[in-house]
Amino acid sequence: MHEMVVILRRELKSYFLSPIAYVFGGLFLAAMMYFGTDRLFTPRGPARLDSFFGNFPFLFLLFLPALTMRLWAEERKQGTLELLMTFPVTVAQLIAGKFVAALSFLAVLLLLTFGLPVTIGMFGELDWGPVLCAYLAALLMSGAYIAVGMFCSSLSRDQIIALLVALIVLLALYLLGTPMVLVNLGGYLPEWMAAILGGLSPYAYFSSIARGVFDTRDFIYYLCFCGFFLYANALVLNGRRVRG
Amino acid sequence: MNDALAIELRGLRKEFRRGALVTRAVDGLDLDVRRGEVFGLLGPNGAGKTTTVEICEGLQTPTAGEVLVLGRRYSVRAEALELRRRIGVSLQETRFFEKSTVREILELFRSFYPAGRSVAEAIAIVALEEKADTRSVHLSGGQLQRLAVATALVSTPELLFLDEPTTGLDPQSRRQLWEVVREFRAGGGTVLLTTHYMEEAEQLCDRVAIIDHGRRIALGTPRDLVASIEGAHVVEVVAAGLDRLGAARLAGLPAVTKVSGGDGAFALTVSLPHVAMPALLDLLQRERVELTGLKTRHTSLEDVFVNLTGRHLRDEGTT
Repeated sequence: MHEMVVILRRELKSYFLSPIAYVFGGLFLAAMMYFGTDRLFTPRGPARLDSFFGNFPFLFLLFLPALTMRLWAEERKQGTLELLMTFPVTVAQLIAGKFVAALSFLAVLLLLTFGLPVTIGMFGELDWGPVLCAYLAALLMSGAYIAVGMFCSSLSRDQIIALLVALIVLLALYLLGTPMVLVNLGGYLPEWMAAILGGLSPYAYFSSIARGVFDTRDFIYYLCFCGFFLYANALVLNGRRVRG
Repeated sequence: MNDALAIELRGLRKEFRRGALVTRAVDGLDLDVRRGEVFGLLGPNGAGKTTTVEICEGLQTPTAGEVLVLGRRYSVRAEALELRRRIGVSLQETRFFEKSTVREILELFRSFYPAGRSVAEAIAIVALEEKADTRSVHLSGGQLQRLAVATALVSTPELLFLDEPTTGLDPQSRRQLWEVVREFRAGGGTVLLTTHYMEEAEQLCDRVAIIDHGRRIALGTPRDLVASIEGAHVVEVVAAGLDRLGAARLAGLPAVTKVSGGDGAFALTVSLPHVAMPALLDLLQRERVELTGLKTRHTSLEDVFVNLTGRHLRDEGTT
């Protein structure tokens, strides 16, 4: 645990001391605000944040690969990963430290958007239950996207390749969860297969939690999704040790 | 398991596969490194030194063979972590986090260990006090190498791995690092060192193994290995007409035990230079060969390698 905390602190420091992180954070917040703040107030009835949270899955898939692309690719390119491996720290601790650090950075960015619901709550009627659920869903989805991005970053020394691979994988997963693709898949594949493919997408689970519906299966899905990609990440790093 | 040994390698083999191509970097290597000694692995680039050391450091997994480091195995998970707490590693080429200072880098690596030297002590050992608050990107090659050694020493290791620690350093930086190694050994530590500087091996190592094509071709103290060559001196002769005379004529001179070279430059291994030199000069004068260079020196580990393989340590390209 101590070693994981050492890695976590190092990563957080690199986020908050790097200008790139502030540029990323600024653009990310600007995009969330720009694309998500129309149609907040309706002439009658309570204020809604559906359009704000509804953009999260697509914006996250565009931005998070840029956050995760450097996590392993940069270490491998600079040779610092090899150096870290000579110290008493396991691959699991390295992965956990980097994952929690990236998630914490995202959590800080999400926290910075909290001013929006607070402001809306001051001027209109806001149902806080779905809002808090949407933030929880956003955090879970961030974890899933970060796990995919980290895995993709472990595949290459080149950050751009890591970015592109993560974008493609996340886009494919996103599309699998959209009704249009699901309906079309149903035309080509057996129903059960289309259902399984649709069930792989984090998008559907996000929508469910963001509506304020607590279903244990959604949480289990996110845990399994993150676990799968983090485990694959560990296999890639350990495999490199065997191959040399 | 032998408690007197820091490293035991038995039948070590490492192959790298790229599609159908299999490269054997280490080929059945047996090696014992005793506790408390500075052991040198010598060999040309591509001989398998770094692969062997990285296997001993736990950075690579062997294809076959047995590896015991401080009586433990990396293949056992709990032992691997314990081992990493007891060893210090300075890689062949260490890159640090560019924006971190010397002190910050050492603080990071120190924080992995429950006990060990203080960061200030580690900085003092490698004489980097003046650069403690300098970012690593602004350090010279020698300073970076000393920082790499400091990261290896920050935990008070029992066994120190130094992979070509002085390559590319100026003589002063090299000697500073040699002092660090000597002090570590004086404190009871064991060192496994790879180098292709023969002088470094002769100065620092209690024993050396010469590696070529992944195999051990010689083992012993530097003095014993040098003494294993018949003749304690080498006479290097450069002259335009030497090829006309041929190696056989030179080998026939008194006290000459071996002749190597060609293209107008020959190295004569001689047992008695005061006997061989006059005979050589007499031969050159008689045959009207104009001498352009003549040098005598003691035989070295380089000559041992040439004697065993017919090649120079630096003949091979870098890998």
